[in-house]
Amino acid sequence: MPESSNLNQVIFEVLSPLLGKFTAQKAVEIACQRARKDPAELTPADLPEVIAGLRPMLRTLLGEHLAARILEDIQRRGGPP
Amino acid sequence: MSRTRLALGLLLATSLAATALFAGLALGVSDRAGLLVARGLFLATLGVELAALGLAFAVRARFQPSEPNRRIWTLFAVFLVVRLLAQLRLASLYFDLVPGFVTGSPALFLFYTAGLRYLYTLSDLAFAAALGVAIHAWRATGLPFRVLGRDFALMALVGGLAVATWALAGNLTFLSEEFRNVAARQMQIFRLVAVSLGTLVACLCLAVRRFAVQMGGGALAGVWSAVVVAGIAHAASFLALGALSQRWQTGAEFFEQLCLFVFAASFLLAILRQRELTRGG
Repeated sequence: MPESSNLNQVIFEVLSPLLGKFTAQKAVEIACQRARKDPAELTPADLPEVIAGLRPMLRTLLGEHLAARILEDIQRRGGPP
Repeated sequence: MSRTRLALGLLLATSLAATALFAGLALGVSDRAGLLVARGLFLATLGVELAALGLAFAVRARFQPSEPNRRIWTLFAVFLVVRLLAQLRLASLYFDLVPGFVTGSPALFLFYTAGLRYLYTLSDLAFAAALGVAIHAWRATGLPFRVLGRDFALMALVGGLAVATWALAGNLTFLSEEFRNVAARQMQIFRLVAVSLGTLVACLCLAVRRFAVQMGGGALAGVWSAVVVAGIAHAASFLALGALSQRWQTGAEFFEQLCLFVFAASFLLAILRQRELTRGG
């Protein structure tokens, strides 16, 4: 796991129990590519881009309902305080 | 303790108890007594498959029609429905429950014994298709899932084992003399088809196993690891039958059935894990 922002850590912590640590790490990278940032630079302002980037992958792997719950969790935990 | 762990414990205990009972009776009493244990395990497998079928439909209903998981679990449900029909047919043959109108007509009886065994082939096709859809869907996510060289080597080894099984299965016929030639030919063709499909399923399972390893743990990998064990046990049942039948028919039937019980139990475990995953998140 690269040195990172809080949002980066939140995504990893939410996804790794479900998708495994390697998939979770790769998902963070995909989310960063979508936001055109390094993992350490992700901020709560990037959440819409991050969520849009993760949604198709999570929908395929886990299904629509579970993906929606996970993305809500990321939004709640990684959003502005 | 979660229901999944409880189910795993019960299924493991059943496998061990059946093996111990079989060893005790077949070696200490008679082959016939051992055969009763094999038939008991067959009934237990049928029960597990029935439970798996009900739960598979419940899991399927959790996904939207447009989702890949819906297609995967629909194919798994089809696999279980068709397989259950094939198993009920086999149960009717094992326990003399074939309907009178079937036994009364030689042509119908031949179709019942030789034709309907291809229900297993149809069910295996659905299993292979489900694995194929899963592999395709995962690769389409953009995640770096890939099959390695050593997986292809393992697939080649599985193929070699299938060929060996096919060669060993040449002397499996134990049907009555009057049907022997036709029935033996039909059985050979069926086994060729069954072993080929079983090999395909095992190879697809090896690819899925690699993807599960590449996930690095997690609940989803747990679901698919159980599916992989099921697929491998299913393929191993042919090997057990082929390897033992020439020397020890009762043992061959028991160990084939034990593999099929492990297959059914692992598949049930996969469904329970998927249900926990979609419920809990």
